[in-house]
Amino acid sequence: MSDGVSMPRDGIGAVRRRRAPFSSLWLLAPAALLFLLAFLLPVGEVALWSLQGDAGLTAEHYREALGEGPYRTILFGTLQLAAGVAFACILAGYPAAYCLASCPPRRRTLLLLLILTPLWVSVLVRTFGWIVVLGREGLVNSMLIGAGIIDTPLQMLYSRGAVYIAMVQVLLPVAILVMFSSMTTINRSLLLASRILGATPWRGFLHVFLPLSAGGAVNAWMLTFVLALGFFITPALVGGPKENMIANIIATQITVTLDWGLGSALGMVLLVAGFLMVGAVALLFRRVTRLSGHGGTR
Amino acid sequence: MNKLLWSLSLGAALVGTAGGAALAQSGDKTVVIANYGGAWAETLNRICIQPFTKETGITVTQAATEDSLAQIRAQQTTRNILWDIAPTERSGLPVSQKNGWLEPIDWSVVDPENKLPPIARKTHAIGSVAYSTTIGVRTDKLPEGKTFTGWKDFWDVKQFPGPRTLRNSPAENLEFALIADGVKPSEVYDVLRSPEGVDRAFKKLDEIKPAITVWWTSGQQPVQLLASGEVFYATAFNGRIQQLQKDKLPVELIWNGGSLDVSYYSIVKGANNAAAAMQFMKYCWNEPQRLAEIARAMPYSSFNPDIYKILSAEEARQLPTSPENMEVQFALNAEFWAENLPRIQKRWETWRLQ
Repeated sequence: MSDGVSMPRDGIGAVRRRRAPFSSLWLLAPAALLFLLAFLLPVGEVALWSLQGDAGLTAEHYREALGEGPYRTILFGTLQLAAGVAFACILAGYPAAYCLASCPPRRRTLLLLLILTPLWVSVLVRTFGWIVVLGREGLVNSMLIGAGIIDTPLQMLYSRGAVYIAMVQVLLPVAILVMFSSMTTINRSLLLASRILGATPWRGFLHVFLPLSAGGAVNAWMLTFVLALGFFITPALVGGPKENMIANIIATQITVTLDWGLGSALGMVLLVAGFLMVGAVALLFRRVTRLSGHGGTR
Repeated sequence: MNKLLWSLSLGAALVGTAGGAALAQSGDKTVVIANYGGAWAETLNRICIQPFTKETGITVTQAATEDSLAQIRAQQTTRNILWDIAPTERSGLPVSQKNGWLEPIDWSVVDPENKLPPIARKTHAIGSVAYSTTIGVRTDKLPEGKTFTGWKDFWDVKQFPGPRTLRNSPAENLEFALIADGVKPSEVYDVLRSPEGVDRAFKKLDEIKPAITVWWTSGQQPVQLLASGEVFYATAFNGRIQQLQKDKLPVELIWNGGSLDVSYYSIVKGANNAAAAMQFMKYCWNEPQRLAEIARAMPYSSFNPDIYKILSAEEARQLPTSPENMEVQFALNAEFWAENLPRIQKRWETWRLQ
């Protein structure tokens, strides 16, 4: 009798155990194949180019890329800018994501639509939009002059500030969406529990919601940071005379000076530097919070 | 960043396989000509390609590119030749020629009457048309009663105050700086080749740097900057400035000290249809009637002197290769830049950061 009950249960369990790992690996195959063909192989080839000299293998391109000189400066500048832009996206996007996650479904759909709309417009067009707004004879300047606040136009375009504004605007929807989706998985009854235990709404947010949503914010930072690293149209169009991104330098090496060795080395350095920064941030986050992204969300 | 490399290598290979198959199917009577697209491609299509196909039965397809030299290299390295005719302006020609990526031109086919001057008649390229990098000036922003004459005035921020833009490239700007410093246009490359020449040019560029609001990268940018009043003085391709004039903007074009740049076209090594490609080169770029039509459509002109027998004096004045405009300009020296660009480019990036 007891055998008769336990047998089928074990049977089902065994089948599930045997099938699950097999089928989940199988599901990875298309993505893995694409990743191999469209990412690992080309990157491997680029890595080879970066080591090829006129006579055999050489580290010369890496010395050029990382040694004293313009490329190292531009590389650090790019990492700094991307980190700053990503941070600004988190600051500006967090309240928006919070609002989205807490509002009723119908309004949420509308808001989501509004946030997604700018993504349908090309980055180039959005950047040109800023030229119209911030330009010497642009919207802001003519308004300020018309109102008698200033006499001579302010130089807003072609500056670091303009690059920040334009890049944040392009990347903000991405940051909001990532944080929003992580916030929707947070169990709201935990907040309720904190209120029942006597916490003020603010304290409840600070001690319960913020730590639980921090993982999403860090993920959003990483994603926007990596995307910002590759920007080059926006800084070239609205950036100041000293503005230069490493992506522009790489493009020059590939298409103008035809120094593919140096271009490849710069590309590899950017890739590794990006990985290192993302890894460091992820590690630091774990250390500080001792929480994984989904801890306590269930 | 890797996207670019990847699209060049594997992308080119994958698309190449498909393209190659398509070409093989359509037989050997197709010429693929790569160019930079836009209005130029439309003009070519109307004036050359359609009538050529009608007369000869040879199909000509255009392939748009933004980085011809890198693509030529990618096609040669992968041995997957997609183009017959490729643009090889600036460093493109000397670099490709040195690497053996081009077929020699059979001049008995392309220019049997020996009409083209040496600048348009290279062993591995034909100079199709020329364009100039000139100065565009917002006349309404000029100080009262002053006339702007050239590079000396561009550098003179006291007499001619206001924001300026130059191209983000050492090529041409070093030459312009030397002319502003008193070097004759015909002698800029002698000075640049001397050991202290490049130093002298950078020193002169130091003077103008604070007045440069932005370093432009694409051809439409300086024109847009002039039109929006973002800058008062800009370097730009002559055709773009003339477009502004047609749009009734108060803009003047200064030929004086301009840089004449030849739009070269070559036949790539291993081209599927080199013979037909040369036939097309003659048909499109060495027949005065057609060249005159091209010059009327857009102000870029051939070196074939016969076009000035067809064009009026008024039309000729607008063209980079008309005798009076040629006289005040210098021809961009592609060999100098092919040799020295990698070295000077690095110095340029350093200098911009300072």
